[in-house]
Amino acid sequence: MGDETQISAERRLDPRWALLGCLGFVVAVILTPLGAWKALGSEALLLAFFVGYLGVNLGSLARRWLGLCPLLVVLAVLLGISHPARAGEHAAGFIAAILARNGVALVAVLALGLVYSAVTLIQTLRRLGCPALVVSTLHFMNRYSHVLVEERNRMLIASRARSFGRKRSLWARWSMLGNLLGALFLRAMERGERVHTAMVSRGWDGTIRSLADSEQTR
Amino acid sequence: MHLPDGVLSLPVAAVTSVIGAAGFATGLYHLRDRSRDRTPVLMGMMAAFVFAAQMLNFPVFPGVSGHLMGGVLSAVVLGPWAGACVIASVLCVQALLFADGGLTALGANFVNMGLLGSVVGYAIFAELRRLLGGGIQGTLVGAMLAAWVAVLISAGACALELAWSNPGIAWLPLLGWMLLIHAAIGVGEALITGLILRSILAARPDLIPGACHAVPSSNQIGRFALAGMGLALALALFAAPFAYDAPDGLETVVEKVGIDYSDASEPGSETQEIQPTKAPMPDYQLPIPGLSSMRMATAAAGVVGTLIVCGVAVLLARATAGSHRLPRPSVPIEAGSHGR
Repeated sequence: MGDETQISAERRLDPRWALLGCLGFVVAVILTPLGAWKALGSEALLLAFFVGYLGVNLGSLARRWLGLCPLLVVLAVLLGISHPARAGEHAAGFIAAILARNGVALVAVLALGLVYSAVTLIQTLRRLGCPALVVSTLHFMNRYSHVLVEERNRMLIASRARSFGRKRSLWARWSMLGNLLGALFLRAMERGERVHTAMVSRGWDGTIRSLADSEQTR
Repeated sequence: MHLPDGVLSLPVAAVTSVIGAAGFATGLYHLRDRSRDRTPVLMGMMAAFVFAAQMLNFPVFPGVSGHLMGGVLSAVVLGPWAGACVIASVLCVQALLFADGGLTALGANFVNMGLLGSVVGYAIFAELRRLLGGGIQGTLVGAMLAAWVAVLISAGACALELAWSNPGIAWLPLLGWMLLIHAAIGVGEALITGLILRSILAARPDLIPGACHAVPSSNQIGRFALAGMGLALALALFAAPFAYDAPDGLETVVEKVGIDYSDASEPGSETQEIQPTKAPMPDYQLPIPGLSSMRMATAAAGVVGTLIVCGVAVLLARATAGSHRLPRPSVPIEAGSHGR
């Protein structure tokens, strides 16, 4: 990952095509019937080509994929077991087929998120016709979620420092968490009010502009 | 509860996407005049807050933890449609950047958590607050109960979507288990929503539209009781599908657990004749008391959960209202101009 990978990927494949292609690919993978291993294999090959072409960092891709795997396994096993038509000796094959299919779809979405930055993807949504209100909400969210996550971590460290890592009762943990989140919420809202005032005083009219936008539309 | 890709069949994904898109368009239509005031900034902040808060797990009971979903919280602060849009943004970022929740399941996830969790949750909240006479207490209790019910509704919808996309699946136990697990998670969601709202109401009640206008009500306790009763009734209705075909779902649960139900596996016709006379209420004759009837368990979870949420909400509301006078906001609130 890194800026250079993202910039070269943007030069190689327009993020609009990448986003639409990813959506189409996921739909195609889901439409592939379970057990059609040849079709799934060719789809996986196509995906592997694009992963290599765009220069996705294989290490972080594998790490994120493995991180989401437990959820996939649980769902596949649940569906495999409770499916009456496939109970018995076919259950293992059925579970493997679900796992393979969902795994391929997951790699595609993860690669998209790894290759293009959040800002690029949000701008791409705008260029694909997503409403302005949503796009500006996404921009603000992307900008301030990092700030809020850091703020939350600072508050957690501070509360730990005040209590010297004492063991707490269940209710104490709950009320600590509630107070922490409440304070975080108030800080977020007050920051939002300040940011809005500052933006209005700089002539904000409801749309978010960036230099990249004007370059791309040229 | 984030459905990934490939779990829903394509027709289900398509139908839920259409419903989700229609609901989303309705929301944008309601918000059309507000893109120039501070709504988008506050929506973005709220989305960032929900995103940051979702990484903090709270203990539900040993071994199981949940996290804030935030649909009702954001609807209470920003209004139902803005709340739904906040949830849509969070889902969008999670699906695109972290592959948490599938791209094709985005519509279904938005229907479950945005439309049902936020818009329907807000409708329940508004009704409860009106019943409770408004003010700080009404806001707090109404929001907590609404958060709890909204989690159950979302979980139920999720189970039904899963069942619909896998024809032949035993949908009744699936629904039952989803509701049972989410009854516990919902209590957590209600508690955390209440605790956050308590902080807001104590420091900045002007952030929550309608919290400062206490409707005088003569008999608070009577209203609490009324609201609780109404909610319990609604839950009973919600759990009513369990009454149909209960033995069917039951048998599947029993098979899953691995109990030999009929000791002598006789031909079907004979067992069907014998069983009603032998066991008029087969639900109650199973060896495991906890699993004896999904319907009973779910109804019990509903009643117990309602009581817990109601009790804690009343206590919290008493504490908050007692420690704090109702302040009058000096500045008119523009973010509070929603509601119809």
